Amino acid sequence: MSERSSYRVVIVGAGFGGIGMALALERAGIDDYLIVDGGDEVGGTWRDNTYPGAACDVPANLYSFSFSPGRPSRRFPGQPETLSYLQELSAERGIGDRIRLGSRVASARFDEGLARWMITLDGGATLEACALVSAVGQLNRPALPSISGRDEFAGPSWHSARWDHDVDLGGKRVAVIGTGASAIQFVPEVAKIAAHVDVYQRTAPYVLPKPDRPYHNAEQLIFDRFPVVRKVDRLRTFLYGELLTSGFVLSPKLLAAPMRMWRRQLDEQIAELELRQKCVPGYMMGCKRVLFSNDWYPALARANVDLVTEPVERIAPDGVVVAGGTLRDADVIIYGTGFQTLDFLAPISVTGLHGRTLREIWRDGAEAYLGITVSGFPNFFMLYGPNTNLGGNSIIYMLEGQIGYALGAIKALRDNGLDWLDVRPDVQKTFNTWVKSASSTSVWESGCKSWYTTAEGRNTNNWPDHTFLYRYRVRRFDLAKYRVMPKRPAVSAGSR
Amino acid sequence: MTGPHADRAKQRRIGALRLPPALVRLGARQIGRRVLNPDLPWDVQRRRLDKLTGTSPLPKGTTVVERTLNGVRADVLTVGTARPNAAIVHFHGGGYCLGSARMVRAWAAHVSAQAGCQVVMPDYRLAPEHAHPAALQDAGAVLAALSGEMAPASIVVSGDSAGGGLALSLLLAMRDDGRDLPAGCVLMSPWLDLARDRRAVPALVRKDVLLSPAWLEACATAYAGESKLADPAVSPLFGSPAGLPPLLVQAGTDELLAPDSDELAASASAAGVDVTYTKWPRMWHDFALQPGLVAAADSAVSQAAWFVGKVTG
Repeated sequence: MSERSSYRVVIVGAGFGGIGMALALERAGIDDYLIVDGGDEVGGTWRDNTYPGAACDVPANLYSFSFSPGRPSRRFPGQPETLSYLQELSAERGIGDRIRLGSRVASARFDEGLARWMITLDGGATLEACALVSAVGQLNRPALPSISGRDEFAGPSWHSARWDHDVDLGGKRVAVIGTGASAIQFVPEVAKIAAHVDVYQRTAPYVLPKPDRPYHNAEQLIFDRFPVVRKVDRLRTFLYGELLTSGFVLSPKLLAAPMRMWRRQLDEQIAELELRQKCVPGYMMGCKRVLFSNDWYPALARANVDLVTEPVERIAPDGVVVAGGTLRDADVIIYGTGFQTLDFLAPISVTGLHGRTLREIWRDGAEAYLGITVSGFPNFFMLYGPNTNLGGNSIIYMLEGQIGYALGAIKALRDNGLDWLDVRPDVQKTFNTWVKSASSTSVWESGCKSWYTTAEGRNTNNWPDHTFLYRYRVRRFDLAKYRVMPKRPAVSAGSR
Repeated sequence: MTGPHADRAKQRRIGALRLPPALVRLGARQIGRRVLNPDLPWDVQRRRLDKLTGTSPLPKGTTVVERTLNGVRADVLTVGTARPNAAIVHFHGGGYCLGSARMVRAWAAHVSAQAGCQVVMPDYRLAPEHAHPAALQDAGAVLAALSGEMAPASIVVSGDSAGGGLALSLLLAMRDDGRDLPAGCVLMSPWLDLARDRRAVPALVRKDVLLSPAWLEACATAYAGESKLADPAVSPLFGSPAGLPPLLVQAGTDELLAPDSDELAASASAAGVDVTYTKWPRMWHDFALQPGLVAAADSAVSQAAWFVGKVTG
């Protein structure tokens, strides 16, 4: 671990984004960087989410860096495999000594005179950097529901992203709040061992079949011998994702085939009519995240699982009270209630030019240029920032575009002898006017409540167009879209 | 004071003429060779440049009125319904020796349409017939006349190339005289240092398709007259930028004058001036004057309109 405190680039977060950024810097011959991460190992969301059944819902041949596809054991590998893919990649490329783990960033402030970011860590240490890359992701801070009596529950309770592996669920009565992407993965696992599971559902998800299976030895051999076969599978998966995206952004009519697949799966897996009706969502497919699972509906159909659709009124010390006052006993409560997605980057306080903070300028919803840069925050680059989440494709594909763009900007700083560059406000405004108009016709603003939109229903999280068109827009860094500051005559020397 | 005739420019649709930058660059190179050539007499250069100007399409509803402001002839351009009490005063380029208000009409029309204000383009006196400080006096006279009609806080001064130098010189002079300063200043590819040896950076000499060190030297000598080239009134880069209003500086990377913009942005920022500087990769001198033709120019114009809107509130 180096003792220096001044770097050319500081990256916040050691997940897919942070590792990818570091590898890109290495490839470009820039080794003056540091990754800081609050956790105790590399992996980001794949380190945090260790719940039983955790797996990616994008096939690993697509959910992996294009330059290092890895060697997945199955189409949709579980969390341990994805985590070790990322950890092995960082070990293999020797970037381990450039990662400072266990250091959480408290605040970052741009010093205009020095043209450097001053990054304060929890505990008071300070780092300096020319460029700051935020790779903190969108889904990293658990959201707990504001249900009264939550603290009074007598038994153990936890959020799915902070799973308590010390509690044995065998023979217990378990209450699961939420039916999102995490819950549909852990409920089938929990139902196998628990005595009884109550699943509390506010809105039903669309659950599509997950064409998962282990790769045979013969297939692995072919992948190894002919890497192009893996590329073809990657392309095929990507195109399927773009098809889903077409349905989300162009016309819901294009979702006819996925709708049929969902309906067939539901009809086949749940025989009981009343339960089946509870599983029919009351909104358009895609408005909330579309989920993939083969064992969600069978789990709900199990004798020891109840799907509770009455609203939760409060939590009592010994269970959950639903509307009408009925108490449903529970020994353990697991919150599958997702993440705080709307205030990007919080709780890090980020201060740009003229002392303005991201929190201030994002009061009415986050926005950025291409999801990467924000006017007034020079030399600051976000990976997986506002309006770059996807409903139907791999986020790694987006990250690679953002990493290339940020790298282009970092090179432009050097090549043009600049102190800083800052996206033009007029450019950011034009871009977001387009985002708004494209979002207004997308499925995400079709009238459901989801983590993609603000309370007013404005889409601040999703990319409102085809994924490849995002990559087209970020294909190269365009300095003309930026306000620049040439290196100034040694003002910094005296000002400290 | 309003001129006797008001001509309505040809109404043409804009945006239909977008050309590949490489093609426009070729055209610029021809102007560089055949017009801005120090071996040609000034009147030949002026005649050739005049022939080339006024050919660009203007947006619908463009009106140009001729006025005389404190004895200086000026074109006043408006598109559609412009705010009557706000104006951009734009000084054309041409090395202080060539050019006319007609040359910058396309730019003025696009900015006027987007910013919603009139653009006043004075025909200041040119060197070598009228050396320094004739141009600066004319510029000051126009500003003085306009300040009687509207608040200085609703005037933005701008200029391209030598006009940019003139605009900055004017601001420095106004500041030194303690007069009320305009709300802001837009400088496009400004020529701010007439004393600099432009041959010192061969890479830029090679890249610049329009300007040559020899032509710049000829213009500098003609304009400076009795004054020193390094006089801050002639080369405003040598003046202290402290106390100037917000600046918008636009330049291309492929121009001999790029260092002037770099240095102004750096020194003005160090002096506490609010400076917005944008540099267009692979763009040539004064590319911003070709809106509708070049995508980068459209982007520059929309930034200028944003800036005018911001500083005049």
